[in-house]
Amino acid sequence: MTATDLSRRTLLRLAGGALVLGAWPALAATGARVYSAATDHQNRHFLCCWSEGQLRFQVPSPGRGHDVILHRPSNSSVFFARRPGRWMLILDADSGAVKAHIHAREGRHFYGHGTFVRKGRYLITAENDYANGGQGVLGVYDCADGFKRLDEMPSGGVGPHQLVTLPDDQTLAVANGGILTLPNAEREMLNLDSMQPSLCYVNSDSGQLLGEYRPPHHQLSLRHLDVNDQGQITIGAQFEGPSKQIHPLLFQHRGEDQLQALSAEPPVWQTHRHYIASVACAGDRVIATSPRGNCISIWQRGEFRALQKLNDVAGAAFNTQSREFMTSNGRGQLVTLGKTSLQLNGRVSNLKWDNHMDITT
Amino acid sequence: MQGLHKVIALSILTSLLGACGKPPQQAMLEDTGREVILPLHERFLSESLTLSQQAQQFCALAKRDDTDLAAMRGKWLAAMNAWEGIQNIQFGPVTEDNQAWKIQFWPDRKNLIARKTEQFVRRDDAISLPALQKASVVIQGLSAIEYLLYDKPADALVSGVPGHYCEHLSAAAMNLHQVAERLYQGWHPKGENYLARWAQPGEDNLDFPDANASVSAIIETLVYGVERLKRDKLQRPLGLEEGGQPNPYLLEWWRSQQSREAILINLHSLQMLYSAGESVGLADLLAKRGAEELANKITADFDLAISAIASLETSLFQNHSDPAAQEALRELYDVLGRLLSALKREVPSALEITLGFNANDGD
Repeated sequence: MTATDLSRRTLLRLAGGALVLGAWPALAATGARVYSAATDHQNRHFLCCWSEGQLRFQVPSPGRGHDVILHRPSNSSVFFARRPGRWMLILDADSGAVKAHIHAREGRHFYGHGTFVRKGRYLITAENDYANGGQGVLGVYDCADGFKRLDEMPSGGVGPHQLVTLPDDQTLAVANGGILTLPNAEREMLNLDSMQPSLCYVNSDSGQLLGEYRPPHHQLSLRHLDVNDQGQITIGAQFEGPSKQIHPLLFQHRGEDQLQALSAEPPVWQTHRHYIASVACAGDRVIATSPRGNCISIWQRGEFRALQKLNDVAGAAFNTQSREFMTSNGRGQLVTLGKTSLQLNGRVSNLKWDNHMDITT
Repeated sequence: MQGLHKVIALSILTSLLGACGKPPQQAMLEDTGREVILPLHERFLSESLTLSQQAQQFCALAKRDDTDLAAMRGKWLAAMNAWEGIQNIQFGPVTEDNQAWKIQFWPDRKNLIARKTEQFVRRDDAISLPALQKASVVIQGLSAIEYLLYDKPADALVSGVPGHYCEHLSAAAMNLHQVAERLYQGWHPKGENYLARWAQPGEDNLDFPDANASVSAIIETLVYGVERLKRDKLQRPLGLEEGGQPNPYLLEWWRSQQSREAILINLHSLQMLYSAGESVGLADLLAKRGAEELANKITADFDLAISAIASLETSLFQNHSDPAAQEALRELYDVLGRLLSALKREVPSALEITLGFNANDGD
C-alpha cells in the first residue's frame, strides 16, 4: 500500500465515508479533479480535492476557506482564508500534504483570492492594510522561495476581492469591492454610503495603476471576475443599495471607455437577488452563479441566453478538456452544465462546497 | 388465557404497525403534493382556460359594451386569483425556463407594462401567439391583460376601435393557458411527474438529494411568500419602513385594485402549504418532532394575519391611509414579521435543517 493510498483511506474515513456514486458522466471518465474549500454539517472546515466520484483528500482547515488556485509548476493547490482570515495553505495537489502554511503580514489580512504571474513564479494576493485604515493592497509572494512575501502594491481601491492575470501574464485585473471592513468590526460594512467599487488594471512588475473603471451605481460592489483568452474581463457585482432597485450585475470590459453591462430583461436580474457568487468564462461564453437566486445564468457574446436552477449554487469553473462549465453548491453536489440540462457529477453528502472551485484535467 | 395473550399480541402488533407506517417526512411530502400543490395548479389551469375562451369570444364580437368588458374582467380576476394561489411556489416546473416571468411582471417601477404594450400594438401585422411569445416577457401574461382591461386600452376595447389591443388580449390569454398547462403537466403523475421527483429524494436526484432538501423546498416557499407579502406587498407600497413614503402604484394589481384580495389568497394558500389541510403537512411534521408549540404558534399567526387583512373593507389603493386601515395593516405587518422569523430560524432549527450555506455567505 502506498502512502497516498493510506492517506486517501484515512481521509475518506474522516469524511464519514464519502459516497461512491454510480457511473457519473463527463468528469468520472476524464479523471478531472475539483478543488474547493468545504464545511461539514458539524461546521468543521476542510480543504478538499474530489475526483472520479470520491474525495481524493479532505484536509482540516484552520478556518473557513474561500478560493483555491492551482500552481502547476509545483503541482500545488493554494487555498486562501475567507476574509478576514490570515492564513494561506499550500497543499500538494495530489495528496493534500501541507507544503507551506503562510500567515498574513502583521497588519494585513487576506480577502480570499489570488493569482499567479510570470509563468507561476509569483503569487499575487488581495489583502487589507487594516493597520492603515483599510486600503487595499496586493501582496507579492515568491513561489520559488517558499512563498516568501517580497513586496506589496496598492490595489487601486478599498476591499480588493478577486483578481486575475491577463493573457500577457503580467497585467492584473482587480475587482475592488469598495466596502471597508476592519477586523475589529468583524464583517460589518463601514462605508456603504461612500463606497467606490472599481475594476482596476495594475502592472504586477511596477505596481503602476493602469486604469480604473467604476460601475454605473456606487453601491454595485464588484467582487468576482474572470478573463477569457482574448483578455476580456467579465465582472460580477453584489448590489448593496436599496433592494427594491434592479441593476445589471454583470459587466464586461476590454479596452472600452466604460464597463459594458451585459444585456438582459429586468426579471433576469431580479432572479439573481442582487448577488453574484462566481463568474467563469470561456471564449465568448460566460456563466454566473447566484446562491441567493438558486440559479446559474448563461451568457454568450454579452447577451443573456438561459437560466438554470440549482439550489445554493456558488462555485463555478470551466473544464478545458470536456469544454463544459461545472458548478458546486452547499448541498455537496458537483454539477456540469450540459448543452440543455444540468448533469450531476457527484455528491459528498456531508459537505457543503464553499464559494469557489477550480478544476484540473 | 391464551386467547387474551393473542389479543394483546395483536394489539401491540397493530400499534407498532401504526407507529412505523409511513415516515412523517414522506407522508408530509406526498400529502402536500397531492392535497395542495396539484389542486392549486389544476385550478390555475382551468381558470386560465376559461379566460382564454372568454377572450376569443370577447374579441369575436362585432361590438362590445361595458357588460362584455365586465364579464371579461371577471374571468381575468378568477385566473389572477388562481395564480396568486401558486405564486409563491419556488420549486418545480415553474423554475424551468422561468415560467413566472411570463405570467406576472411586478413591481413595475418604470411603467414597462404600459410602455412595452403600447409599443407592441403599434404595428401593421396582426398579433399572433408566436409573435407575442417572441416579445418581452413583461407583456405576455396576467400583467399585460390587466393593463388592457383596466387602463387606457379598455376604452378602445368597448368603443369599437380596439386596434391590435384585442389581438394582444387574446394572445396573452392563450399564452397564459399554455404556461398553466405546462406547469400542471410538469407536476402531474401522468405528465412529467415532478411530484414524484420531489417526494422521492435520493443521491441521484439533482433537485432533492435527501429528504431535508425536499422539506426545505416547502420551508423556502413559505419564507419567500411571507417575505414578499411583508416587504413587497405592504412595506414598500405603503411606506411602512421608517421614513418611508407610500407609493400605491407599487401595489400589486393596482390597476384593478386587487392587492388586498391577492394578499388574502396568498395567506390562505401559504397556510394550506404549511398545514396540508386535514392531511399531513409541515405543521404535523413539526409536531411529530416535538415542536408542537411552534407549530401551533405559526398556525395561530397565519389565522391572525388572515383576519387582519380580511378586516379591511376597501381596496388598499384607495384607502391605505385611512386610520382604521393603517391599524390593521400595522398589525398584519407585525404578524408577518413574527411568522418570518419563526419560518426562517425556528422551523429549520426544530427540524435540524440548514437553509442555504452560500446564500448566506456575503463574500
